[in-house]
Amino acid sequence: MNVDSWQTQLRKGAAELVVLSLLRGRELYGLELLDRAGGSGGIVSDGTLYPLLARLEREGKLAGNWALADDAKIPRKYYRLTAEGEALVAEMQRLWRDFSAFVGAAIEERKDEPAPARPRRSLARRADP
Amino acid sequence: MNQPLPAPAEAWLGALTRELWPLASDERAAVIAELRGHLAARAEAGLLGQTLADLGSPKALAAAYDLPGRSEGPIAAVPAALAECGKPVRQLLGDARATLRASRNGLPLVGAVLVTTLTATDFLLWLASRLPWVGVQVGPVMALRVTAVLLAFSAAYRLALSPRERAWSVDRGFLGFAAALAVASLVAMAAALVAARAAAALGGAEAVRRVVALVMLVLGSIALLRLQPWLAALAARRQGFGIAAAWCGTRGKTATIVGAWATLVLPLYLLHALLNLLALRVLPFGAGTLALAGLDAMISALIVVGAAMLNAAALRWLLSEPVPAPSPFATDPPPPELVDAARARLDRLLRFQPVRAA
Repeated sequence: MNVDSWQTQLRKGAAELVVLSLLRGRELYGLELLDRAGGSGGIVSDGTLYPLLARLEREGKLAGNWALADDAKIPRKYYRLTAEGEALVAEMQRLWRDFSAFVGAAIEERKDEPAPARPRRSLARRADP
Repeated sequence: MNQPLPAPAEAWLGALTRELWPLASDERAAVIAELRGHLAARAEAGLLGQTLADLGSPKALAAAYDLPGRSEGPIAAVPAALAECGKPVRQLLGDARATLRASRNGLPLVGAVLVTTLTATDFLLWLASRLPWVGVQVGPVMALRVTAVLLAFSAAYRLALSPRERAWSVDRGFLGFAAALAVASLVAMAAALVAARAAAALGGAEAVRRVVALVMLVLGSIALLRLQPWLAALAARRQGFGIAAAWCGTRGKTATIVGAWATLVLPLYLLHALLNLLALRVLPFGAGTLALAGLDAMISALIVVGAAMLNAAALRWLLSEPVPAPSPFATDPPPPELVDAARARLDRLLRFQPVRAA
């Protein structure tokens, strides 16, 4: 398997959770979201954020609100979680914690164990008359 | 709001706008406005090049908006108070194109239906002019031509603006539209003639008289363009949009509307005039004339469809109404009364089916 494509899929799945989590309890616009997700190791990028926000808004998980901030010359679109979005992110966070705990435990467990000796079954079968 | 960005950013946004054509115009405007703000902030920080690279190609980004699969609610549109006030000619032309795409392929069909009538009437009118001894009656031919054009305009407006209305129906909406268009056109032409005669009466030379008539005709045509959204609303049976709303609403927008008309429709008019000149004065009347009539009919049909698209887009602009997303093939069930009418007709047809011999 190609590690790059696996990593891309992993990021895609995590981006939604990161964005929804960042919006818990506050309103943010796109650039603020990107800045706050700056330490996310590239999970959320310029090119993935806006289509993701549009999709979540269409699905009713987010609500968008245009406003002109005092310091801004251009109106910004602020996003907040809807009730549906709140419920979704709570469930996603619970699942993520379980998932990461399980994967983390599996990785740690296998790291300490010596590799078991494998029986060379296929060769033995071929040797049979 | 629409402060210009550095050229690469504007080019990137222009390309993205084109790629986002499957969206309704207000959604597309919201996406572009959001990204414009993002690019402006990044440009101020000196990160424009890196940001454009991160955003990727407009095509890839548009595809990431998952356009074909959208089935949920709309995204928040930019409120009118925060939206840009003016609309450049290019944007109005883009709205006209979106109107064509949103008409469920109806507008090209209107053009195709119109071509047959216009080919025949073109040929007959040219025949009457070039070979008068054939005795073609010009009056009925012109009446047929005008009726076909008016019906096509009405159908085009209904397909573009009120898809629930029957496109080809001759009803009060159509009659009101036809009467209003005829009166407005006659008034514009009469004003030009009166002005020319007045110039002649004041002792002006022939050249002055012609210039005055031409200027009045141009001014009358511009006034007529300002009334076109009202005529479109009449044909599409849109209530609550009167002549005063069209006249006042187009104030400050006339330059854009005239610019879009000059870009989209005027070249076709000039081509139409050139073909008529060739047919009536230059080329011999013969076998090729029918082909020329067909070509002229296609140009004329394009004029009708182009003008209808533009006027419908202008009406939506005045009403601050978005151009809906394209829906090339209708998926809604047909209205029950249409289904009942079709069943009744089918029953009548089946009753007259000849009995096959055993």
